[in-house]
Amino acid sequence: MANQKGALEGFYRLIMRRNSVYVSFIIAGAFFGERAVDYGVHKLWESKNIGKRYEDISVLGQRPVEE
Amino acid sequence: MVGGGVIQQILRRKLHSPSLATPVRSWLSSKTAHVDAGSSGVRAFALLGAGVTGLLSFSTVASADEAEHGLACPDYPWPHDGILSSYDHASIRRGHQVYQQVCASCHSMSLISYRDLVGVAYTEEEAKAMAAEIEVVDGPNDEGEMFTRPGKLSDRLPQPYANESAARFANGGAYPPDLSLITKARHNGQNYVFALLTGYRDPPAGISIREGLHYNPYFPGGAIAMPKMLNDEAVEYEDGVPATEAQMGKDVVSFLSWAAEPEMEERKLMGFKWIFLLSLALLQAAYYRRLKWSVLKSRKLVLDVVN
Repeated sequence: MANQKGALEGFYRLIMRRNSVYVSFIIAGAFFGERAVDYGVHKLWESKNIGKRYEDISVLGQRPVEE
Repeated sequence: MVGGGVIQQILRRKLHSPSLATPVRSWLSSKTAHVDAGSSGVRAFALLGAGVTGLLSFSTVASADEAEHGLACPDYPWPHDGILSSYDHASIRRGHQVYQQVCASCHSMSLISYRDLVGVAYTEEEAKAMAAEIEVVDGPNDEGEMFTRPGKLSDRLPQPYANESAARFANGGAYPPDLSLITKARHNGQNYVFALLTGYRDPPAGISIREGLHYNPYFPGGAIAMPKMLNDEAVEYEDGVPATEAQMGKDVVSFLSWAAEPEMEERKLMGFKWIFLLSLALLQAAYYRRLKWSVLKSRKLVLDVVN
């Protein structure tokens, strides 16, 4: 699957030779990765829900009329 | 009934016999053959019984009676259907207006507080003003007396009746249920409530509903105590949307869906994010497992036999 020049091989050489490097990569990757995923999912959510947000209510701020 | 057993035997024949060319003839001959052989006869009987049970259980499943469950309601395309779809918050605001002006005279929503509406349908000032319009009984003062005060954000939405008995007395023995969780408390709740609210019609020929009840095919039994409440122009929306019966039904069901499941948007975001991340973690775990096992999987074993 992974030959000498494959991308996985390079990944292994860089990250997975020492367990300390591996674990550090996972922790740092989790922190920044979660920030990136949160940002990306939020952007996707906003693009799919245009006009439906609370902020998009047109009459926001005008007190509702009690009948 | 016999079909189940027949299918089982044909399958068994196909698995056991090398020739698939004449399944029917071999099945006919196998029938007598299995009766003769002792243990395989018991197996045939057991498989026949399993087939019969399976077929019988199918017949009892799907016969939902319309009189028992009401007319099956259609699936409406709600704006919040879908993995990444939020509520339509403008619809929630209009739906709350419909609830307040049409439904709140009989139905309580005692699990919703005014503060829940802030950031969802109203600003904090609007919600405070709405809460201040109601009178709330508050706990004993320094003299030990209960007193009434204007409502605050932390107060629950007001109840039209003091208790269930009062509600039943005012409505001919029928209790208007609390609507805080109604879309979760009824099967297929959102579609059911919309179909019910917009489904009032004249009963078909031959069906008579007693005085005090109304015909609604979606209500189990067909006779519901609530009259038709949504009529065109019953409410005047603040944002100018025409208040047709269907529009009011849609908005009030959006409001009720939010009331029952206010966490839906956060839940969908969380679900999407974590299913995505855990799929990546699965790939990582698979790679790591194969990495660690590669030592063993690539070893060579030599069988050294000395005669």
